[in-house]
Amino acid sequence: MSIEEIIESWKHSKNISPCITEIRVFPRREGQYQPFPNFLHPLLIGALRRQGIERLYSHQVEAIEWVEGGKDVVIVTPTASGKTLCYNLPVLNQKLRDPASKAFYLFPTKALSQDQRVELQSLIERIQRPIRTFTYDGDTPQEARQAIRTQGDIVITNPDMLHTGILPHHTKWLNFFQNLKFVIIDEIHTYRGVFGSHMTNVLRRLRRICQFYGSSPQFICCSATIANPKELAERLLEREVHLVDRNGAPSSERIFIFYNPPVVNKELGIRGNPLHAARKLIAPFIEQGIQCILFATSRLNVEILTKYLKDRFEKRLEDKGKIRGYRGGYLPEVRREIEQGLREKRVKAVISTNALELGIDIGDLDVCILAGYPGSIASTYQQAGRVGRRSEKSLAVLVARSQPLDQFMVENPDYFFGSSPEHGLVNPDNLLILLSHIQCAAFELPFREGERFGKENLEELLRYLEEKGALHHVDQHWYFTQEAYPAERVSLRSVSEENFVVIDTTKKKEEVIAEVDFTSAHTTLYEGAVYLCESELYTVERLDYKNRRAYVKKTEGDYYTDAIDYTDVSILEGFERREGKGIQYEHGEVRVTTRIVGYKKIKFYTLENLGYGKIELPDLEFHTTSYWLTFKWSLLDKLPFSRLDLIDGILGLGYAFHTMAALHLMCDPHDIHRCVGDRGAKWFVRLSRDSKGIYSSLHCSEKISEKTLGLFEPTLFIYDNYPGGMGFSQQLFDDTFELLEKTSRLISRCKCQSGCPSCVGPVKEMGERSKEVALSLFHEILKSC
Amino acid sequence: MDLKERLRQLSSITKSPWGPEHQEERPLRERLERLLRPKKASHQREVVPIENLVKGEVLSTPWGETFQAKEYFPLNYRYGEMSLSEILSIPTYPAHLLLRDERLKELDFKKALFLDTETTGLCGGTGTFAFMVGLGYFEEDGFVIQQLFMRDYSEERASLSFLREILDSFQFLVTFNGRLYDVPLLETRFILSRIVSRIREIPNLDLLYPARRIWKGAYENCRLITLESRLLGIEREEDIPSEWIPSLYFEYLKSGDARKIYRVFYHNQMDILTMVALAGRIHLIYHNPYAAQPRKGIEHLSLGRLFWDHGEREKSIPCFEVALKRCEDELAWEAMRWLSMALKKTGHIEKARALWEEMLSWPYPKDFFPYIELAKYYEHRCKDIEKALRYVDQALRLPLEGRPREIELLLRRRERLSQKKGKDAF
Repeated sequence: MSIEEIIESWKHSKNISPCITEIRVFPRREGQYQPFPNFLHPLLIGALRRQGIERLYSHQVEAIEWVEGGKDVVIVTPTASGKTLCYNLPVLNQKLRDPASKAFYLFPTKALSQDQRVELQSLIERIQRPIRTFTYDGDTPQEARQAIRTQGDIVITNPDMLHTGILPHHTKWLNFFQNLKFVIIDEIHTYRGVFGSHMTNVLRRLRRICQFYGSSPQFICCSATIANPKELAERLLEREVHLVDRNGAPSSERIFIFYNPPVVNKELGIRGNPLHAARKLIAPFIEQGIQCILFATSRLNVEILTKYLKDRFEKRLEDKGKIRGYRGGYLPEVRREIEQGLREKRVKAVISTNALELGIDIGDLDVCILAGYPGSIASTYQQAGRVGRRSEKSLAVLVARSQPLDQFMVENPDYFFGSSPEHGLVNPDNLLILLSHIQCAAFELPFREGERFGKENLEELLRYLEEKGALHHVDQHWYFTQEAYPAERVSLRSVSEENFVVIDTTKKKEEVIAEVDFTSAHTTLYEGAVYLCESELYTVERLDYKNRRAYVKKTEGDYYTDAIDYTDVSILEGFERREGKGIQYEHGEVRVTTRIVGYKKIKFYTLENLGYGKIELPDLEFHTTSYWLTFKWSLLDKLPFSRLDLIDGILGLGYAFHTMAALHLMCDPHDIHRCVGDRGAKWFVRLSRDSKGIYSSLHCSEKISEKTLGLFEPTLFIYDNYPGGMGFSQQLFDDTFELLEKTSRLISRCKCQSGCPSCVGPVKEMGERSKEVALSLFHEILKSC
Repeated sequence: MDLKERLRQLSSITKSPWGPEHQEERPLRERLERLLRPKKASHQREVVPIENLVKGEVLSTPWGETFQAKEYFPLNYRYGEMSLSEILSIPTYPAHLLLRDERLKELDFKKALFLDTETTGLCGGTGTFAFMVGLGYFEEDGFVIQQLFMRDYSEERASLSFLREILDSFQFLVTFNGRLYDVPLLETRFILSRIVSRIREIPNLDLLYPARRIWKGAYENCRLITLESRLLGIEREEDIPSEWIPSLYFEYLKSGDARKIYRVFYHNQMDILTMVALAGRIHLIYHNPYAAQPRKGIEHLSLGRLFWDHGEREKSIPCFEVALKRCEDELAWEAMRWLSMALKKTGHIEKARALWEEMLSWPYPKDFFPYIELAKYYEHRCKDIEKALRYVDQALRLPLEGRPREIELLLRRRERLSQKKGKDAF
């Protein structure tokens, strides 16, 4: 049977057909080609010809020409459209013209660096010139490092290594920095939120050092499809960047199917197990020997699926190795072997985490099944892009879970297939992040008076650090005066310096398995919490708050824990305000005070509540930026609901709005938090163990009576869950109506009766009428639009 | 809200104390602060500059001023067991063998610059400064210690330009861990000040390497200060621990009061003198292991191995012999192993055999070594396969675990011997 015949059989299957919510067919696309530009070195053209490349795709030529003209460029084209040539060609061309020239390649992960080096190396071998490429990261042996620093022409590394290992030792790279011509940043869509904000600062430091050595490298960036690649690149590089986004690569006919497992528990809105569905869907292809890839959302799921499929399809000896799992944590040799097996078609099916989503070369496959929405449209396209480059026909199937985002996607295919809505955002001038990097930068080179670094008033920040004893001001310079190495204390993946370390005590030898930033530690590392790390479950046995350590042990429970916190938000300053129909929305700066009072034990998959535990931790207080949406009484009074029901509706609306906001901002749902209170920030809604109620501030346990609810103007706060803020709230403010509309669609298209985890949240928590009220609210707000 | 206010609030987030214990703490701290404040304030007002505490001079260079202290030590000055003139008169020094650097063959302490830096941190990197560079060298009638000291960061360039000139007049460097620490650090400082220097190219007698070869395991560690007190028996009068030095310097930068930092001058001077004494000690022990009276067996053992490596076999055997006499039980096995192998390779096979047999009676055998050697001896020398086999079998009965590789080798030897035995019988 062919792919087409299998799809046909699905359409006629009683079980499968009702679950298919969408079939989209994208016709075959011819490639658009252009001849080699005349400025390419003959040796390079010869090498390409020997590789069988006689001409280039149009987007490759466009990118190379802009680079030749001295521009910084960001290239946005799908997976496997030959974007590596867009940077490899200019870099090698420059190298052939000027043998002294050097380049940095930055990839977000180590695995990717290895893979790119192999590809680059094979092109260099065809040129037959001694161009030396090396990876330089945490795994590089000490004794090899000096040779790389002095002899490397192209050094492939990651932002963390640049931050802690290269920039603070730039004098050892003297020759490299003096001749640095190009900096390549691939997968720039991964540099968003906190990571991206740090990245901008690392690049600020890099440019500062280049300036010291008299070089000014050109930047070439690549990105997956997001709404604002040019804007993101420009915010990361802080200068004008040229966008190349007209893809010239050919593609086969692609079929995209959305599959929504049937509802198994109507009341709770729980759907069938997506892993089970994925297994069922992939089986006929394996039987037919059609090569496929199955993406799972966690390492644990990868292992489970691999085991199931091996049990079924590797019964005979000659079938051994047909099915392989793939994830981070496998040894590099094993991974290389699987990749090669895929290219040589020995491996028929691979089950992978998103580790295979980025540009690792595994050849062209035919069928891709996604067991669960990967969290962003960009990732979905990256994963689906694993198939259908050269083959006649290819298929991608997205299997939805019960989560709101998954449900929204399969129920709103037009939204998914429309132009990318996801924004990569960064806030490099978040004060805490900025202050950390100013110290790192001062360590690297003293600051001169009048120098600039970031958009805040640098001199004031330097003076502040001087007062704190971190810097010393003399003779128009600020010098670093601390013993400790500042970069070591700054993790590019979190905001605050004070991380908690998670220590696994399962084995005799204690082992640090993770670091958790200060804020998140409160909601993830309380005693009794189930901590998830690489799909393994751990129970927190002891929290040494003072020394910032959590001691955990492996466990095999069937539940996870969710902290119950009471949060107060008080508005410090509003930046902008707008009015809508019955609503008012603003963004600005707030103080967030959170008290964690307990936790729920929640069963996996069914999300059943298994019980509660108590937590005693100090209150957490921080300043951040927030977006808030106030519902006026003029609006609420019109609706035929009691005040308590109205509050339920707003809570449910907030639940769904939060989901859509995370989608829109392309951030993790934990990167933003929500809270419902009144605009004056005197009263807050608490979801507590037995009941829900409205209480005044944290220190007062007085519950507001229903009669006085009239004074309460309910306000939904969505704030950045990082001290100092990430810049999310401004975007929410600007796109309020787009978001409200999407949220309304998510709720109205959900097939549950009166609320479920896929839309307004579980009925038991949100109340019987939550969904109904939320929809009426939307009806009023969006009426005139 | 202005930037300052935002900063204040932000920092109160990350640093603000939580929990009840802090609340109780506060009144006490307030009381303490109230009590101490007046005193502290009067302290701060009095500032004693470095020039008042350390004999030295302000140097003027085209890049500004810097401070230098200079002290002379007469050649008959004794520090440790040799006088400076004795060290100076050492005719040949094994530096090129010890450091595996041919350029050090010509080493002459008259042309060497002893160098030790004091820095603002121990982790290296471009933000670590060498605020003091201590230099020592021999002159006609004495030993000079010259210390370049930055009274502030702004004096670095002047200090370094001065250092570069001094470096130019020496052919060798003597340091302690200078290859990995002082030299790269100064090189970084030169680059950052845009001064061209040849510091990395100067042949460097880094005493850490020979010190480690000879004294590793003899004392708790191989730090200069440990060797100074435990090996050379020198006591410092009022020293400060090296860990304090960076913070003392930062304090000095802030206040300008040199009453603590001036002690670093003494500390650095002692480090340099100890380097001189250590260089002498290494020479002494190398050329005349007996006269030097090593204090521990392990020193002899290490020395023996050193000589053996350098091809001086006749010197190494006596070292092993002394080591065996002096050392603790744990080391005796090692000493016997080395001594017996040295004897075997120098043709004293019978002496070696006696040692191996002695090792057999050892109450806690450490490995199969003597059994294997005896098996070899009987197989190849005496052609007594039977006896050789017996040693292998004895070895296999030893209560030694966790040596799968060695056991495999033994089994293979046994098989080979058995075959040979069969053949002989045939």
